[in-house]
Amino acid sequence: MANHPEVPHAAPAEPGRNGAVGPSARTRRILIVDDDYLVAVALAGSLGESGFDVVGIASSAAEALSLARAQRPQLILMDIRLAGPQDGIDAAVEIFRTLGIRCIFATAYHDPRTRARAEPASPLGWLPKPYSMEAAVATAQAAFARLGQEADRPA
Amino acid sequence: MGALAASAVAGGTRDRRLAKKSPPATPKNGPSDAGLQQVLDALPAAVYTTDIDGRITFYNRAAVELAGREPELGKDQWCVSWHLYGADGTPLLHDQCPMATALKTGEPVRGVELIVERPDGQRLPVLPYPTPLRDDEGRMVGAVNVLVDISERRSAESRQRALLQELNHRVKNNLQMLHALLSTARRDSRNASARAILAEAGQRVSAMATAQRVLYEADNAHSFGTQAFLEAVCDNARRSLGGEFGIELSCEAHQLSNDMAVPLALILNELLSNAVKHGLKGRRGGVVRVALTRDLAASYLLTVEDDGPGFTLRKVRKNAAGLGLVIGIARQLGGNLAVTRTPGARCAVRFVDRHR
Repeated sequence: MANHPEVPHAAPAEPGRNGAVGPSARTRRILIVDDDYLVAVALAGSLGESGFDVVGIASSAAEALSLARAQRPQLILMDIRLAGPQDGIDAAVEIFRTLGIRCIFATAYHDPRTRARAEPASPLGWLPKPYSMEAAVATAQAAFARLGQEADRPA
Repeated sequence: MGALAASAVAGGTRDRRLAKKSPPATPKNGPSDAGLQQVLDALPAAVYTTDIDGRITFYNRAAVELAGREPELGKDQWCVSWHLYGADGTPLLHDQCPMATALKTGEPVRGVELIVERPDGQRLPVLPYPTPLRDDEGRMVGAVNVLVDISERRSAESRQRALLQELNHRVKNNLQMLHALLSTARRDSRNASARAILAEAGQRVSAMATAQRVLYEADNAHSFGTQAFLEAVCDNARRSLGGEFGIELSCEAHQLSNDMAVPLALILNELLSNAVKHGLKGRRGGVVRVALTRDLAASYLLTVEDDGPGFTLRKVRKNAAGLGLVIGIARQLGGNLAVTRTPGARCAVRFVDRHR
């Protein structure tokens, strides 16, 4: 992650591995997508402190897609409002469709229409803005717990 | 309208041309028929009249402009418009419109919004003012309607709504950035006491951010619900303070004015923080009781109680950002802080909601 010196370089995921989380996964890999520098760095610090493995920070939908593809995180913390023609929902829907990776949406736009648009991305949670770092960590923990439960469910 | 003018427009078989050419028998204090015609044509609002059966007997220039068509005297009925819709967009038959109602009931109709559709398809929001016309004996002879185009008002309203939303988002983003900044500064600092101070400051900012979020979700320009507010502030404090303790919440008041949200969030956050840090002191299974009750006619009481050792207000430091903040803001809200030993600590903040 040459762009963000604060984020330690993460080892790339094994080839062929998709976004599924099993009970044997030791690290909890998370990708941060937010175009606000202050917020992204604070999130990386708080999540890192709480035992998550932050694989990177993306500031656009395109960057989110390419980082998700390269790093294969298990979860994405996705800000909906992003610079560029596509927003976080566009990115999340594409990422879920092609890579099967789900996300938590952080947003100031907490209305039914936004939630309906986000449904195809199969979100794991919502973080209404403004949120505290503690709330972000708690939401990420709950999301990973849900992923673990769903992976454990018999087929 | 003078009696002569009223009969001139309401007469069933008389057409507009005849009315114009009749001798200008001027009413005592008013313009002649021709003068009246000029007055009506000069009005920016659409005006038209009908006879008792609703057939159009007169219309002014603005009526033609609004309707986008030339009404047919004696033929068009109830309204000059091409098509009508209710404010919600459902089609409205002309014989169901407010003008028809006024003619049926003999009473003016007010406060109903309509949408007028022109032959070219353009739609305009309109406020009609149908009023029955009566002769000297008080018999209804027809009605007059004024159609006021309110499209400018509607677009101003939606511009204002959009601006308020934009403002709201900016405030939320700023608070988000501020909280993030403090969090990172805390993590960056190598000095333990600096970290503690920044952590406290960050927590106070997150209490403010919580208040702002509750206001946004309540989406009310004037007041917010106290139950949801207290829960959110307690929830936020619990996350920052960590540890295992319970909060018992009881809430009597239902709504408070919006500008109480941030001050109360700061007060409650501070009292909770003190209760957990000094009252419970990390003891498992400790409980903090929070209550909001109505006190006297216009004042409220916010109490935070723990079952710790208790304290005397006089003897403790009142840091400007700690208890001093609670005392100062309580005074700002027209109230005060009172601390009693029960034997645990019971902090009671009385305050006034000046807008309710």
